[in-house]
Amino acid sequence: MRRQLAAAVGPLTTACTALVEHPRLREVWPEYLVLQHQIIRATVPLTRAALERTRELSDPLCKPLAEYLEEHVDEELDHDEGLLDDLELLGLPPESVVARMPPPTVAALVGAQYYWIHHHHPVAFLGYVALMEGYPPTAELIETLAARTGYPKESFRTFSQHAELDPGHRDHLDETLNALPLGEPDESAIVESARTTAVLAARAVSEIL
Amino acid sequence: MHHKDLPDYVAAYLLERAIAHLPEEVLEVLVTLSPEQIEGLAKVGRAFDEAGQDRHLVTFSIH
Repeated sequence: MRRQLAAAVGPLTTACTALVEHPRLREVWPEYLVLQHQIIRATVPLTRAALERTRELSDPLCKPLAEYLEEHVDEELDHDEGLLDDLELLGLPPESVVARMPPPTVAALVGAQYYWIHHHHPVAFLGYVALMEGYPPTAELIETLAARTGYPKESFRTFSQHAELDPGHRDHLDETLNALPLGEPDESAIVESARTTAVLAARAVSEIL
Repeated sequence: MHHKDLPDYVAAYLLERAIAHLPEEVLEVLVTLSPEQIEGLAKVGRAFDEAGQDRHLVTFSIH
């Protein structure tokens, strides 16, 4: 399963590389952060939805999955607020960011998870987390982005926090995947969820380039 | 063809090259290659990367 999860990331790699190499990265970067805010502000509600659905079920996965999701809510609290602060430093007032309607691709990205949580099994959500949290920005990348955009380092605060925190969160997910009594259908659901996440996250990035 | 049906050395090559989605026809050719032939293919890919000088693939996401 881990090999399939790693192989799923290809489309996101292509989109991220195109973003970083974009000739007008300074103009595109605030749009990218708005897009990330549209995605990230759904993370805690999405995780809570997965937690509530998990508590309604009664298979062997539910107890350890619920324990992970409870802790994951705490890991993700207030990240969207930090991103709004970064955007304000770039001249975008918070109210203008939240007033913008997220594009259909973001709705599909997050909406697919709600569908699987409510109409299949919340274990699929782990594929979303694996993809979204498995590739934290590095300090070197943040340096590159600051240099190419010309924006102050302070406006990369959320990225820096994720560079620091997400490796620990990724380890937490890894330990959970090791510990959960996953059957083949569960693993397939996680992989399909990760693949879908990579494709739609990549499409969302490509749409702003 | 499902990913789990791929030989390990082909899967490792796809991973190294960050290739997630290939047409079925291409996958069918890849699985006919020996480990040595795949290694040759990987060498060519790395040479292309080096010819691109400072271009390198990046993946990042915040959550």
